[in-house]
Amino acid sequence: MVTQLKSWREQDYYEILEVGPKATEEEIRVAYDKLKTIYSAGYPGITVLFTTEEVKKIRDKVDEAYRVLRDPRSQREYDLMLRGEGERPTVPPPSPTVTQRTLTPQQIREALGTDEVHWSGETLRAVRRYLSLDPTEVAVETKVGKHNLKAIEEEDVHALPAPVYLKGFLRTYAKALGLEPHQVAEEYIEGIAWKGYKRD
Amino acid sequence: MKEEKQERRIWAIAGGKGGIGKSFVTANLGIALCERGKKVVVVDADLGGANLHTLLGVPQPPLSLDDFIRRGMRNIKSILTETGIPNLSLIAGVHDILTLSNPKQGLKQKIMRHISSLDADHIIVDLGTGMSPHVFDFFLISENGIFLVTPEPTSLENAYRFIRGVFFHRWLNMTVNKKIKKLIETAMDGNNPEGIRTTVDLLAQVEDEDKETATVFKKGMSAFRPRLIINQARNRKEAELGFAVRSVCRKYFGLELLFLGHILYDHNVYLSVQRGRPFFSDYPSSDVAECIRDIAVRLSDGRGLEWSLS
Repeated sequence: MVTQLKSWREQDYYEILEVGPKATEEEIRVAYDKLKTIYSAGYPGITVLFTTEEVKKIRDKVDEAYRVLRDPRSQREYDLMLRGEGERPTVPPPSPTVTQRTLTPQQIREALGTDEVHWSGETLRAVRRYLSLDPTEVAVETKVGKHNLKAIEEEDVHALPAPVYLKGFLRTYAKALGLEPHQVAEEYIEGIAWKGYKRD
Repeated sequence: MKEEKQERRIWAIAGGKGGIGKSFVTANLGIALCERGKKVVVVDADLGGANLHTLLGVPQPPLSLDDFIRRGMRNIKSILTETGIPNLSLIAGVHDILTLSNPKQGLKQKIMRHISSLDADHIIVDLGTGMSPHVFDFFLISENGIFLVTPEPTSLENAYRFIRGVFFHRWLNMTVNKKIKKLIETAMDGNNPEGIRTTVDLLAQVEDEDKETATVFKKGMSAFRPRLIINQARNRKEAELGFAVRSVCRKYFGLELLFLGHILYDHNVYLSVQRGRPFFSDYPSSDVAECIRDIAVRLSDGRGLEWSLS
């Protein structure tokens, strides 16, 4: 995982995230989650060798590495750069769950093109597209699987998970889009009842 | 048969702090490896208070490292003691701490040379407590060291200091250049006025002094791959401290450490020690025994964990 005798200041993004150059999306996410916890204030023993200032710098670097590597496009650019075949990519903005976004009623109107708001697969998809988020990105951030997100947006009652899971997924998805989670989950589940989806 | 030969290794178990279970892990990891059909010797090299035999439930052996050293015995085999556990034998430790707690370099090398000549698949050496040069030397001579850490902050702090000490000590042994030796000694004090904090800082300074030595240092590190075990973890969070120690080693030392796994805390460990019985014999199907078996598998296979505990 690490080229020996290289400090974190010189490590590349893969070394910073302590994953191999062929790591999967999931491996990168797991490593990122762990490292975020390790390099946080008050983590046991973390300041024995590092100063508080350095811990913060490492955490920022971990964030930066993750933002570049989780996005397929910037990852590809970065890989090329490592091979000396291109420029360093710009770091993509933090993900929606990192910057807690909240959509205003005005933005929701713009996204849906109407004043009437009812949360369904179609309207959720409209908001996602309005925010130009692609399903892969949302799946990585929310940890809700891509197939589940697809089923939600398509209101495919046969592919949707059991109600207890669905409710949680809907809330997480709504939150990532900056919407009110409880209202979205309630309206959505009510809305698909006629398709034969049982609440309990 | 060929594979057996390749696997043969000497494991030195160390950790800065006392009472963190080094002898317990030595004894029971030994038993776990025997369960896997390996021939194992455990060695009590805790020169400041030997007790490995108690943890294996055997009475004080008549002959020990003590006799080997003092009487200048030719063959270390003559001080091997059977433990009653098939394929597991023991070399008991030294009891006179006054004369031998700080042996000369030549003697240390002699001991290690004889230990490595033993006919076994795995030889596990219990190094005992402390951060003295002789502990570092034994740790380094064995090539395959295992750091044992418990989740208490004091143990973690000691572990980091131990790793730092081992690292610098390794380099100290690799050069005869007086200026560079001096540089390393300066760096060993973490608050040195020169501002040399990390091994990477030190290497840069060595490079300025003598490029060749720096290259030797770098090369020497690639063979250095210590292991790590978290002992007495009370929950998942504590077990995951292993990932943190590994990460800090990667980021601070640029050192690749293999995390072998954790051993859960269990009061029965204390009870078995009190009774002077080997833990594995009394609690063969406990969670603790399972943890140790997992570690034994990774030790045999030369693997470490990735980012998850299983």
